[in-house]
Amino acid sequence: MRFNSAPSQWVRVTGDTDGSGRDGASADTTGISRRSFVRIGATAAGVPLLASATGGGSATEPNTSGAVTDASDTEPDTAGEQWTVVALPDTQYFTVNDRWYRFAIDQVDWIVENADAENIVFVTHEGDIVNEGNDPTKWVWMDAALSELDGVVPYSTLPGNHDYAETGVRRSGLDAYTTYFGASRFDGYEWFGGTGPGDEEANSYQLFSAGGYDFLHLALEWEPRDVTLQWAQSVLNRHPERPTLLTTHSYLTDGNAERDTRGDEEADGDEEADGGELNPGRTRYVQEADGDGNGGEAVWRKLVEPNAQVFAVLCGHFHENDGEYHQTSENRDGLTVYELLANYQAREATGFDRLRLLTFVPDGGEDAPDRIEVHTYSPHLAEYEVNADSHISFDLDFEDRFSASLPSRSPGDVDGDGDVDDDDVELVQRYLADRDVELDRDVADANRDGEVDITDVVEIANERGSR
Amino acid sequence: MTRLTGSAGRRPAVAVAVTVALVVGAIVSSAGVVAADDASVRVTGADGGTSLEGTDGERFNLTVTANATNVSAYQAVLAYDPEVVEVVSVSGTDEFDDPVANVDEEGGRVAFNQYRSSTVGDPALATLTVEVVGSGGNWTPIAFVESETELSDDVARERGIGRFDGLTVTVVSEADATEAVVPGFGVTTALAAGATTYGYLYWRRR
Repeated sequence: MRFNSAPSQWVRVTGDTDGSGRDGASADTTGISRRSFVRIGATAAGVPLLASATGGGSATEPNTSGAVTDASDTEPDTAGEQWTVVALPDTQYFTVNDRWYRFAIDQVDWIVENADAENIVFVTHEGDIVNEGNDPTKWVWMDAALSELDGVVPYSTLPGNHDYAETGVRRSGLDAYTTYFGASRFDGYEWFGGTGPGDEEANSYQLFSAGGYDFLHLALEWEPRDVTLQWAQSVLNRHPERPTLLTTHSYLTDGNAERDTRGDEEADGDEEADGGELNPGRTRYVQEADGDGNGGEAVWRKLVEPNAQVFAVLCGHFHENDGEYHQTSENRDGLTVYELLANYQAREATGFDRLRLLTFVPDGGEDAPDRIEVHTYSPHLAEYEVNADSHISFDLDFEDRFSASLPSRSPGDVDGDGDVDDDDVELVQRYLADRDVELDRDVADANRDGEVDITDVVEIANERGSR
Repeated sequence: MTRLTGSAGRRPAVAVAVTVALVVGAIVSSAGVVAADDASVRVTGADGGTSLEGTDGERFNLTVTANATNVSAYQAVLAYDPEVVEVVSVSGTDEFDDPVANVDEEGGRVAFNQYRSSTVGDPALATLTVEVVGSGGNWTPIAFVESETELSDDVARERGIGRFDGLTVTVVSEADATEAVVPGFGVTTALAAGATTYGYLYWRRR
């Protein structure tokens, strides 16, 4: 018997790990209670996995050769005030049936139970909360699952392509998303910054602190539009001193970054096996039905690269290979940006409930003083996944990177007055006309083609009004 | 007085040679620049001629045009011998407002640029007024500085230019200009005078 309705009890499941053998605790679509589902993850409540995983003994971690090892073998140095940010990859398939829904419960319960021990300071959902955005039942499910985070830890959501009323069609709207995960859900929290642009609620920002640093988090819609990027820029401009983590649904692909080899709906999770070409990286195309939005490369160019304070980008969505990919890039100020894709939905049992843990470890680095340790962990399996894309360490100097968040002028703000307007256009025109004008060529090169020319005048003219 | 001479001007040898050189230069330079794009720019006199002759102090209006589709902006630099011409002004056209311009009088270089909110095809980009200076016999090309002359569409993509056509300006002396303006006047006068003299003498012998 693997089902127990008592919410405080935990059951270790050693077989049927996809839950298919579970007897039927189906979700009540009209009045679901998350406690009608039992978390079946093996980690005992309150037993931390990373910070002090010496008790419990159930947390295991596969080593790089694929063998499973005890998590304590690789746990980071617990010295100092390390803290953890949790990323929840696409949860959409958790809403496909009530068996998989328990993975959503398990994820959130694990976070709640380990929030203190792991010093979890923030949780970011990477989008595609549900699979069918026009099915109100599934929104109720995920509302119930994620509501356990309320009052426990700051968290954010954002719309993925499946969260629109019609999948992949922005103009179909986000009525259901905003009903359950709009501004009203978060308005009461002091860490909640707001939504935008204007009265839209698809994008939001959050403010949280950890390790002596004050962070900003941007949660941006799937393939954010220009107006969204401009809004995000305005948020960055208002908080120039805050190192910033950005989450958006689609940004990196583990498939082909140059061309959309197939629609998201057709993907079966193994591009390479299908003969597709693997060329991972920031997407250079837009999948939105009307082409309304920006791919990963455009988001990088327009928002991430020019803003020194953005140090990491998290995303989900793609699962063309194994649903994991990461890279580091150098922004305009020569600072490293850590970019991470995680989406396990195409794996066995929709990836169980794998989530991402970004643990910031002061004095934990080897090549630099500090370290960001990225773990992939399944509360259900009580296992870490450790391979080159699953267990990643980034050594850096927190003080340098997080204090280097000097305000960086947005592309085109040539005169540095905080906005892009006619004055900026004229300044570049005068520069091109041999006038005695000195300007920051990096900022004037608004279209990022490596030179300042008339195309930048057009780019800046098109961007007038942005800040 | 202005004479647009094309290739049949008073100094055909020089003018034709320079014009041919410019055209050949444009063709040669275009070969390795933007082979895939057939956009071109040119600067011409008021009637479309590619060479001008004028006396010291004469002014010409030159038009800079582009033969290209989807033009939303341009930047252009023209180089010339400041001992032969001076740029008096740079102004706009029906398609583009007055450009942002700067004249380097000593260096013999005029740079100008402008943009518009929508695209246009085959536009006139700007009008330049130049004044001939110096002594007769001098000439100068007015040529595009290709590396600094560009077209853009309305989404900030450069339109490759495959051909740059300039023109030549030649200074002629006042006397040459006078003779050239009424070709054959001296001969006619001489013939008339001779005929008159012959008639008078013939009448006296009778």
